[in-house]
Amino acid sequence: MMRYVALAALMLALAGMGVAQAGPAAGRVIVLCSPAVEWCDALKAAFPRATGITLDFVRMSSGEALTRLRAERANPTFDAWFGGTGDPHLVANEEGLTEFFRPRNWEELRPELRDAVAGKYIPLYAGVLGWALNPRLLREKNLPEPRTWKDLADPRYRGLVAYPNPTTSGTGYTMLATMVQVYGEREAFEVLKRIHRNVTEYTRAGAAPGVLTGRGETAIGITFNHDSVVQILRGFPITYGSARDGTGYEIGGISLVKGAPNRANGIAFIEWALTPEAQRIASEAGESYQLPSNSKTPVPRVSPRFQDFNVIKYDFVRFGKADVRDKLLDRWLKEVFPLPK
Amino acid sequence: MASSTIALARPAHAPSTTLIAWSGLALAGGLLLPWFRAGRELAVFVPGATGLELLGSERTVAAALACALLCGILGGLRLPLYRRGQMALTTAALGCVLVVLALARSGQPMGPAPVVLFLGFLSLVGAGLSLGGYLRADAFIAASIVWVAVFVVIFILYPLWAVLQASVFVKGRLTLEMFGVVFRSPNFLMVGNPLTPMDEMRVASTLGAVVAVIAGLTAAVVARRLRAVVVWAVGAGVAGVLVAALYLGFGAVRNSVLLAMIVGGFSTGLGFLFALLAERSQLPTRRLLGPVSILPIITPPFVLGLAMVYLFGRQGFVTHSVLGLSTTAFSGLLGLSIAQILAYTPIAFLLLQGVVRAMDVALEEASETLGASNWYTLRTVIWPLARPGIANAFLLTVIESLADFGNPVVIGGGKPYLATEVFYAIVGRYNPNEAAVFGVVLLCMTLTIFLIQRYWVGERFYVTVTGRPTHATPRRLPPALDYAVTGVFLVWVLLIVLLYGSIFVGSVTNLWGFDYTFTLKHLKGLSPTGWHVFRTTASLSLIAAIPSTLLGFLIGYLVTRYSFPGRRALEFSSMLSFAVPGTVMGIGYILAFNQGTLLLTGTELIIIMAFVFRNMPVAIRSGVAAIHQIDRSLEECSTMLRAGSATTLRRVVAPLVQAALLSGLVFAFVRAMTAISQVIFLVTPRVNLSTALILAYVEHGSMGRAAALSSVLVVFMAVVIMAMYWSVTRLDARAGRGAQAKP
Amino acid sequence: MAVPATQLKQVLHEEASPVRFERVTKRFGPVLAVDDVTLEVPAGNLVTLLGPSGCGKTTALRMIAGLEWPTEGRVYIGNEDVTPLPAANRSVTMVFQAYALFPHLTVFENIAYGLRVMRRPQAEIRQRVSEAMSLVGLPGLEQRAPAQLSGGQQQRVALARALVMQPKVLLFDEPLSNLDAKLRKRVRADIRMLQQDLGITSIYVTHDQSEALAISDIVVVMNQGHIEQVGTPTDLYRRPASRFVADFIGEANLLPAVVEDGAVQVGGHRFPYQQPGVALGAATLMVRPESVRIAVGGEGLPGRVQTAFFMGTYADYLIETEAGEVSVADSQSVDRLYAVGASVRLQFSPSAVYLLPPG
Repeated sequence: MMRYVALAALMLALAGMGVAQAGPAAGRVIVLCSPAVEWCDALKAAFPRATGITLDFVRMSSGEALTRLRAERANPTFDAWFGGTGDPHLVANEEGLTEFFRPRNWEELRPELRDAVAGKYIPLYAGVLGWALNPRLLREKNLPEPRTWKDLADPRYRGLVAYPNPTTSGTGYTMLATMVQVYGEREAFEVLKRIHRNVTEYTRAGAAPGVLTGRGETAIGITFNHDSVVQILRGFPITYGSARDGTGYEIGGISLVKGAPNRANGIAFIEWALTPEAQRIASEAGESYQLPSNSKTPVPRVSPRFQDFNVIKYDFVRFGKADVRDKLLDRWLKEVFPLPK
Repeated sequence: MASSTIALARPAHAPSTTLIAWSGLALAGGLLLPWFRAGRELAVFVPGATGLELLGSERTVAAALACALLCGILGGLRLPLYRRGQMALTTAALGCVLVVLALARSGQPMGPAPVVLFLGFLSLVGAGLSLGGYLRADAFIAASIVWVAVFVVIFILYPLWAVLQASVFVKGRLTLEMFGVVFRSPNFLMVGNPLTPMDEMRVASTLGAVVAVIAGLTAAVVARRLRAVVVWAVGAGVAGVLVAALYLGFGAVRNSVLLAMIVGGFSTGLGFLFALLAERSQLPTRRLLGPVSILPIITPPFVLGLAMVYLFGRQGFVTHSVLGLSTTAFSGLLGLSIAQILAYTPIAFLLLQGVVRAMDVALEEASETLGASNWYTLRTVIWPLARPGIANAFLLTVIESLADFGNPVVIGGGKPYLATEVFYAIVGRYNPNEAAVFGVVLLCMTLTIFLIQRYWVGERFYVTVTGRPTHATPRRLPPALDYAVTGVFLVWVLLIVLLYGSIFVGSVTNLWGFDYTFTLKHLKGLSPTGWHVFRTTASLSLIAAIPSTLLGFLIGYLVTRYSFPGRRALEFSSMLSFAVPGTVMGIGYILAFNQGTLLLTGTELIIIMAFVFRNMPVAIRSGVAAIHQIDRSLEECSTMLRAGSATTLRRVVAPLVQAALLSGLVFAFVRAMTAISQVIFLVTPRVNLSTALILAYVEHGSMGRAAALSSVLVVFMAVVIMAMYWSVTRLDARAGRGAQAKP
Repeated sequence: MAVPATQLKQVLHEEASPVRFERVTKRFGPVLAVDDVTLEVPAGNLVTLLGPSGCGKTTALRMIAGLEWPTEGRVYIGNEDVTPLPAANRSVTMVFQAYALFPHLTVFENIAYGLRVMRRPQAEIRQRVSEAMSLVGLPGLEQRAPAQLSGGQQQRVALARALVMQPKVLLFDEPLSNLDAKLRKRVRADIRMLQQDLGITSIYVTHDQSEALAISDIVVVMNQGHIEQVGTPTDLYRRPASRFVADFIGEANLLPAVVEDGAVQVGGHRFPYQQPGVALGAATLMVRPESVRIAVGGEGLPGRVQTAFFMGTYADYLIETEAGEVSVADSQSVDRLYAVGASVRLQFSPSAVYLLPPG
């Protein structure tokens, strides 16, 4: 029997010879893709058509992506990192995992976004923080729509609010940082503590509160407005809005990986991704409705517009710093999270 | 013909085909195949990296290949066989080391050449052990032992080691800092919450004292012995303080332990009642127990949680539409407990059914003839007999509950649990070290319970379960008890029907809770992604099921039939992955196989490996059980009739365990199809799995699509399981003539 | 279809080889299963290893088979030292306790198993299997499944399967223990006849002393890992070397006695007896129950009847005497039993007693 095993294995080995000679494909770019899979899939199809370069991607949430980039610091697999909230892009840049470069179409990008991230990464899209509302549930309880962050602390909303756990979700952290910027740290935490009594669930993912609101598990779910749009288009009976006393926003990024194996192709991909043609893909095939960073990209009809909301001048550089972030999260974890309800 | 006397012992100087064949294979693989891959992809290689091309530049590679060549030459030398065995052993062991060195030096992902070469060397080590007389087994068995040991080390022990390492090595520094950070975090455990007006510790101590006094008094009345009073008072007091402190506390440890205790208690209790029902009831409803007990096996673990949302969420069918409530009470500990109890009671039931069946009815009859009442018999005869089995069921359900990942994710209500924190620490907080600490804590808890179960309860328990069922007519339950338990069971069945029904209905209604009109859009929406993922899942599960079953049975065979150094260690480590929560193994795989020469993440192979080693313990158990059924003298007889152990396995053992093999295969397949906790770390969009996709659908709010895919999965596996039972029955019938072989 | 089995017979006869144990010791962990045993089994003989369970007889057998390996010492078959050889290379076959017939194979396939493993040509297999089958007298059962056979037939299949391999030595591991009492007698006679007919060296393990006495050329009595006595059945019965053997083989009364010059004294009773090589002084007198004569008066050891049972061909008594309880099987008084409590005298015929060292 041993001899048969050996013989079979030998034949397998010889068969393997055929594939052994295939080297890595020329004209290839490997992308870490953080937004919705649908978007990534659409890119994979469109990019080769535009440039002739093959695109392979691995989908990872921005946090995972950062972990992966750290692990591969010495020998990166990826050329570019596409999408995902800005904070991890900032951190990656700070840690020297990615490098900033001025893409050819830099001037076409919205100047306010360019300025906000101060050349740490390239803005890809932006989205306003807000909340999804379930009007039916609110009507049932005879409750008004909230107008400010402080309204969420109203005891009448008890058990009707959900927001993402800031320690696991970039959206949650954006909310925390926004409130700190609107109210100042001390008052912000007072408000958060009062909101805590109303919170039915701290979700892991940023989009989840919108889902809970859609399902009617909760009446108010804090999330990015463009995520609420997705739920609305799925048919959930919800609306969305933002705090009138000031709301934050995110700037999704795109970065070139330092030491990328196919650097030129990585740059080509990033520059392509910033063109209006590429950015249209998000809403047309990617179920994503953020504000595209290229000012020439037509804004999707359903996308929430910045001018409709009281958007603050969010300090991405300060609140993206690891120590500021850790301090705030730690405080939230110790002072808000374990409070009795 | 008269001279046809069989030449038995081969001449001691004949060439050893085993040595020559394996070194030829190793050499061919090492020379012709590429040594390194260009990246993550399995079939994209570094050009110019075949052994032939590396011979000049890489000394270690050349040396390893030389070792392979030497082994082949040894096979043909005119030396006594045992000398050649000893020399082959040394050379092949050196070759293994050289391969590892060559890989470690390059740090590139390994290609097929080192795999073939290394496995070839392992076989040669095995052959050397056998020929050299170090192991009383033939080359096949010896090589199997070496292979299995190495696989277990790489795919079970090494990932666990990686977890341990990550928990104490932070940024290249040996430190317990991460433990400190985690232990201080409210996410982990907070016993005295400074944010509440209550002083939790004092309340807990007071409660504990009260419990202690009550227990002491009860013991004083019942037992009237000082020792009993002290034992009861102290034990109950400590338990009271712990439970109260946990209940009032906060954090993942509190939630997980509390949940596990509730679920363990209820599942075991219900399981025991149902076991009594199955074995002792006079009512026809007991026939339902069989199918109902299979359901959790074919159900992805969190689907019941999903169904709980459908039924008992704020827009839930029962809570909202029927009762008109608006509550989220079922999201959180309560709902989670119910979902887990529903999932794990059948496990307890199956374990306890064996116990009840094995109970000797004569003992009860004896008790009754001595004038004992039913209740007295239950207390003094049934309970002590069933106690080890009940403890066993309790501990196993506790492990399951602690390790469960899917349900807390779906209906945990955003509260921390140990199994989910491992995951969130990685994907939410990007902190593998923190994940490792959570993993280590969880691992310690499950391992402790596993060890208690195995060495304290397990041994006694095993005997009763494998004992032959007595053929005496079973005694009937007292009618009152029978009706009461049947009532409980019917409520259970109703709940199950409702839950599964809601999943099926949810998959064909527009928008659950708002719009119940019939639609096929969710099912249609499964194409192309859903179907594609489903096919990937099925094929990966099938590919994994085969080696996991064969390996499991092989290990089962080796540890029951052979004694060799490290046998117990091998058995223990391969059973280990049974006690290791999936999330811990998952992070172990991420940490161990994400870089360097063992880079495997993102490929199908790592998911297959995860399945293989996750499901192997089950196969080992059924393998051991099946092999215990075979009279050992059959194999000895085969050996004496000149068959080597490989032939014996193929011609005698395999045909006799084929029914067990088939069901082992199906269960490994089904378990892989429904696995989530470990593979959630390993899936990528390219290599995605149904369970992970369902979870993603739930997270993104595509509840209908989640329900649709869940329904497809459940129906598919129900069909597979039924087909399996059908063919096993046929196999058993065919083997029936053999089953009565013993007069 | 039956093929004359003469060829097989001849080969078996030629192949028969002696077996030798040289200072063999086997330990299982701390347990000493076989303790420094040296033993010679002459070619062509049937030698029985007899002893209570746990005495090491099965371990000794399995060491010949190659299923266990000696911790120390050597095992020889013929002139070859087989100690390092695995079971498959020893030209020894075995009939197992429960026969170990492969339940998933037919009778033919069972017998052919070993030949198929060795890849003999199909025609030769058919030829040799039918030879073996006619040798053991199993006509026309080739296509049956083992479960469809009677116990005796299964036993023969096992035997044929062992013989077809033309072994130098044939081993039996308690082959009759699965048969009922009546069948056992017949089968053991069959085995004995076949063995003598073939002249094959056979080693037979049993714990049943009557089976051992009936079947063997030589009996080896084992106890706690060592050999108590080697001898012919008559030797063992008449002249046991130790109290253990006396007690184990048949039933024996072992009474404290004093050896005087030309006589033996038991209790108060003295009778003339001489046994060469026995020192004067204390000794143990062995007397078989059927060799005790019982009478009401006259010479003899005085005693009182404690129990009396009618056993059909004899009467079974337990007599209380000064030297202890004596068990008596008396065929004279079958028709009229001595009453319980009656005073009797016991007489020992010198030809049926044997002196052992004092116990």
